[in-house]
Amino acid sequence: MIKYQKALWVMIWIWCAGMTASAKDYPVLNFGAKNDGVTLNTTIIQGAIDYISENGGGRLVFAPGIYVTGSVYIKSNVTLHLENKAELKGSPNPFDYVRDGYIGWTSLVFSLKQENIGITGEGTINANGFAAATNMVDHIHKGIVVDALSLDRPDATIRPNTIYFRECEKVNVTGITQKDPGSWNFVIDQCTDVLIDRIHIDSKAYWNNDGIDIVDCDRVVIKNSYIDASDDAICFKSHDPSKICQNVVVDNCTVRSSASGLKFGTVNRGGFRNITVTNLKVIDTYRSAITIQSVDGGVAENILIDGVKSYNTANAIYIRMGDRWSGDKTSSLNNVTIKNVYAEIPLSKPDSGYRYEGPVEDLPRNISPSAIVGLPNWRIKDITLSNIEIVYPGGSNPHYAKRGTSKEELESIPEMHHAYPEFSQFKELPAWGFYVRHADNITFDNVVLKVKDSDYRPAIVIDDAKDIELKNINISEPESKKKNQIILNNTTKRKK
Amino acid sequence: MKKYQLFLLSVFVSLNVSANEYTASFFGIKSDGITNNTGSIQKAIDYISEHRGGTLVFYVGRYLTGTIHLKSNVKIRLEEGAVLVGASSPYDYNSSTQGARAIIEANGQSNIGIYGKGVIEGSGNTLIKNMNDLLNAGYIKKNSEPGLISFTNCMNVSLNGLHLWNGPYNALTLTECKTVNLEALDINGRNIPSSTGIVAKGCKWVNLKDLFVEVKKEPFINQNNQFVTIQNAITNKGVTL
Amino acid sequence: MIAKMKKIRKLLLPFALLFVFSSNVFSKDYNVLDFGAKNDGITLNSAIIQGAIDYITENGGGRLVFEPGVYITGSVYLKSNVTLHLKKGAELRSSGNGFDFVKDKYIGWMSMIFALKQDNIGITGEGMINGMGFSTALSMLDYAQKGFIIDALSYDRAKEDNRPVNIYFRECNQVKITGITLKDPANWNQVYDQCKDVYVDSIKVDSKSYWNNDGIDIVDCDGVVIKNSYFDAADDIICFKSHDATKICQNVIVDNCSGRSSANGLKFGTVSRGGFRNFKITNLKIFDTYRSAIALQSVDGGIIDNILIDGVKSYNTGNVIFLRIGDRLNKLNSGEVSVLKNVTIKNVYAEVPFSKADSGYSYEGPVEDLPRNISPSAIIGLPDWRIENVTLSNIEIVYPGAGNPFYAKRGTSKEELESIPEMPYAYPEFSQFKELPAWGFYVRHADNITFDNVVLKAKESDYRPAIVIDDAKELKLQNLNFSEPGQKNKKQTILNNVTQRKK
Repeated sequence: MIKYQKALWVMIWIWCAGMTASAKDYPVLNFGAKNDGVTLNTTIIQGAIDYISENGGGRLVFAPGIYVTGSVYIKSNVTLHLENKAELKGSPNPFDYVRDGYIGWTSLVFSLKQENIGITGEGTINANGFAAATNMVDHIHKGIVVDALSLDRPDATIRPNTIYFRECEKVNVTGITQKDPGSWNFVIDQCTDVLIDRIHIDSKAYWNNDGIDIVDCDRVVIKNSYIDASDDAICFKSHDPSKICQNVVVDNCTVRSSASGLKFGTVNRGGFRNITVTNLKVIDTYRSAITIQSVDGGVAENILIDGVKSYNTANAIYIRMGDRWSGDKTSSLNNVTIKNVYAEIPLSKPDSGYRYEGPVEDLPRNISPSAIVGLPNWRIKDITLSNIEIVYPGGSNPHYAKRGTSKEELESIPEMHHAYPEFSQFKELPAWGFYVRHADNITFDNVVLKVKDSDYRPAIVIDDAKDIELKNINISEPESKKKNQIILNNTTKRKK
Repeated sequence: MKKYQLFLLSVFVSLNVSANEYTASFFGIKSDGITNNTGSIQKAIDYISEHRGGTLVFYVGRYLTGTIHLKSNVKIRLEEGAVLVGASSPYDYNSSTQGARAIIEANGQSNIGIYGKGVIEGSGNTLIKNMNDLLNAGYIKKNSEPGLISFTNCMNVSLNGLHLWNGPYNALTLTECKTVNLEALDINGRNIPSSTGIVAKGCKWVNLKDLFVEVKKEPFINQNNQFVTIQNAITNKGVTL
Repeated sequence: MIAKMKKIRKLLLPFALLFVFSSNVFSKDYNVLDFGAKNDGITLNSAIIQGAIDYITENGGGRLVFEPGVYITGSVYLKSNVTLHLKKGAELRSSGNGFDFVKDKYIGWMSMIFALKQDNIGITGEGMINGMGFSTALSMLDYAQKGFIIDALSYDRAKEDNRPVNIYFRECNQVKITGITLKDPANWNQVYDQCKDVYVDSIKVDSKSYWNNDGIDIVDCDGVVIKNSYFDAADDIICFKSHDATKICQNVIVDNCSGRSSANGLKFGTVSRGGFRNFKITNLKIFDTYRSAIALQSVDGGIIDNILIDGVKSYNTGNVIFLRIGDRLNKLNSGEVSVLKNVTIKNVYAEVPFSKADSGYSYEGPVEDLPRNISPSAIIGLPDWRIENVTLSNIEIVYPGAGNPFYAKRGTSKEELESIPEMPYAYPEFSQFKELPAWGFYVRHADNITFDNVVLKAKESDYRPAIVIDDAKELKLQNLNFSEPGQKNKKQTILNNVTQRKK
């Protein structure tokens, strides 16, 4: 894995260096753009991009100021270079945006089937999504735009993302700040050779504001970036059953989310393969620091997560196989290593006070454990957890919510094959630290689980698992010396 | 009791007939957790009440508001994930008469209700601190302590499925109301020294069912009420109210 | 008349100074943040600000001080003996949501800051009031379209009483507005209506975010000083109105103000039911203004009497002087009369441009009353309601000229002059008659008019004469000076049915 990671970096650095060296610069003001925060520059910026692309490529340079725009398309060999204090700002008018017919989504910056493109500099792309989305709501209520207004908001595909790149090669996004989309934020879909470095994302202006979505891409590096998002922060997806999202390195990133920090899924039709995540820090996150989900008939395999610090996050690890949109395919989830993790779980809502807080749901339940939950016939396999320490608040109240550990009670926990997967989906679970079900060949090696207040539940419950290995498990709970902290039901241990 | 059931049934039927549904966004109400929606929610309630009643529906999101006055034949439905968040200044709370102040207040209204799996969330200790600061400065006088819900002299009131959280004082105050159904409520003021559960005074026909109450002070104050029934209503210690 | 004016001025100024002085000395300061307000640009502070105002007024009065930051608010009511003091960098900003604003039942309008029947109130400091008018107006438009509010949406906008102004004070005494910037209302900007002793000093107005964005409206007030202020407004900037036929707007001093407008600079009217009396306006500078630098209109049965305008510089303004009597309410036969008399305008220098004077500003004035060449200044009464006793002295107006008779033509024959429509019921504007027969000055139905030392220059030759006067008695023309290229022998003054004053 590590060897592979180095090779990927070297390769992407080489083409990226080549790209910037030969760039010719064109100031966008020379094309008549206005940085006055008022003038709509869409056609001017597009004209400039088209010119540069047709004339050997180069950088379209934005000097400081605010450039209001609707949807624009980046073309081959063009880099938008946003200087410090330059802001590309989305129009508040939803009719200034394109919902691309091929992609099926709306975005402020698009690129479709182009190569050697980029967005660089220390400037900002501010999608101004709250305004566009809110104005869209009014248009829908008046019948000017037709939309079901499911959950009382316009469909995610008719609200603008900040950036949507599809089927592009050699993509370089470095240094910039991305802010306030109306939908997801930064989508890279079926692209090859992508470098994302030193970007800052502030994405909590409206619903579904993800941080980065890597969809069915091949060869991607994301590093040195900070992501604060109201929805999932770093998110791998696979929309196409015939594609796979693979060969990805994520290093030295810090994330905050009112959903999950590092997420594989939810949509996983093709799969995820060969993905390495190192030095990840997760803070103030409403759901899971790490969640790997295979619920739509795709694969999730060969994933290494090494070095995670997670503070004030409601859940540390949630690995789930399900049968949501699988059709006649079989989901798979195997060969995952998670190591060197330290996590602290709070009693109170971790994302309290951030805009677009995560929804209060799946009640009543006490604090949820980390979990690995497959299905009886679709089993999660070959998972190694080593050097893990998780600190829980404890203090659960069985009068509020209770799940006992008798065989009947454990086996009555619903399977929820078709449900949307979240760490909280089963409501109350019978352990305070880790819950494993329908999973084979799972290794816990040097796992420390601490609880601050006593909890009515045991630390670990494992139900229906084969070839389990538990070594160096360390559990601490106040006033619970004789408590049986590990409950196994229908489980076999691995032979040495 | 039979008479009472018949009466309830007729209310239920009549409410259903006029159950027009309006979503919050129709009135420009914002789910971003920072826009104070008091004016817009009040306008929505007034509008619905003036148009033969109906239900104002809130989907997932945080809806910040000061006091809103519920009107006859208007129901509020909070879908799972919807949180009605009370503003943190005591100035944001008022009362239509002498009734206790609250996030949702009604006086002399009938056929009103709030239901769904959503949350009504008070500003708890923040509001208490703000209130004490103003009292200490002498800027405000002792006034009623803002709760989450307060109904005075109302008829045919129902609350169902809600989480009433982080109330600084009384979660729910019922004064001289008739025919009140409280069902499947989760009242929690865990970290708030002055948190109190349900206060009912001078009411008739109050039904409590499937309640869980975790507060620091009294979970249920039951004064001068007639015909109170309690089924499966417990505190966090498992004690029946 | 001048002596009379001086007397007013002497009375008014010390008085204004006195109350300003006294209200400052005894004021106690309260920090609005201590009441729990948030200057974060997010929190809606209406209820908190109102609570603070109520406390201060009930406890001896004082200043409610806003430290720097953005305070979001809806409607609040200012009360007696309370001054809102906005420090530099403090901004009182509208939430942008019309539902956060009250339509006051007594006043009938919406406002961010109301005061009704209060004494000794003010808004001071170097901070800003920002009405976020564009957002607020659009929210009301949306609500009207959905039927939440009743509005015919004439001109595709919510009507004025459904859009909040920044300040509406009604029936208040001792009002002091100093230092602040007033920005972006959804409607008019600041209205002082039936107030007494209003002192406005050193304010800045940036009011061009939506339709009807006036600068300042003084309605039926008594005792007003406006000075050292700057106005940039989409609609009329310094505007005197009289809404109530039983009231009058009187005893007003305007000094050392400047501004621009996509309507009129200094305007009396349009609504002029009671009237205007005893005004002294000095050192006025108007630029980039779409309509008239000075427009005095008495069209609703009221009076305009005893007005002195002394010292005006007007650059790039579509029109300079427009005096008009009209009969919008059709009262000609009711015994009521619109009056416009005893007006002195002196020491004026003005340049009128060929191109649109307010081009490039937001909410530009409407292109209308075409075809016409550049319009002259004008004094136009009605045949039976005559403008009386107007003196124009030391006036210089530079016109672009170049009136083209193939585009629009009005000749100067008796028939042509007398066929100009009277338009008694029309909305009064300098352009309302379309093409007029003079390039410099047009006078009709006006008696005892004096032109003394008036210089009219046209930069290019014009097919029209400089001055046309039709139906005027006791006219006096002295020291007139015309200049028009290549027109040395042209007859520049045409008189029809005019008698000249005997010395």
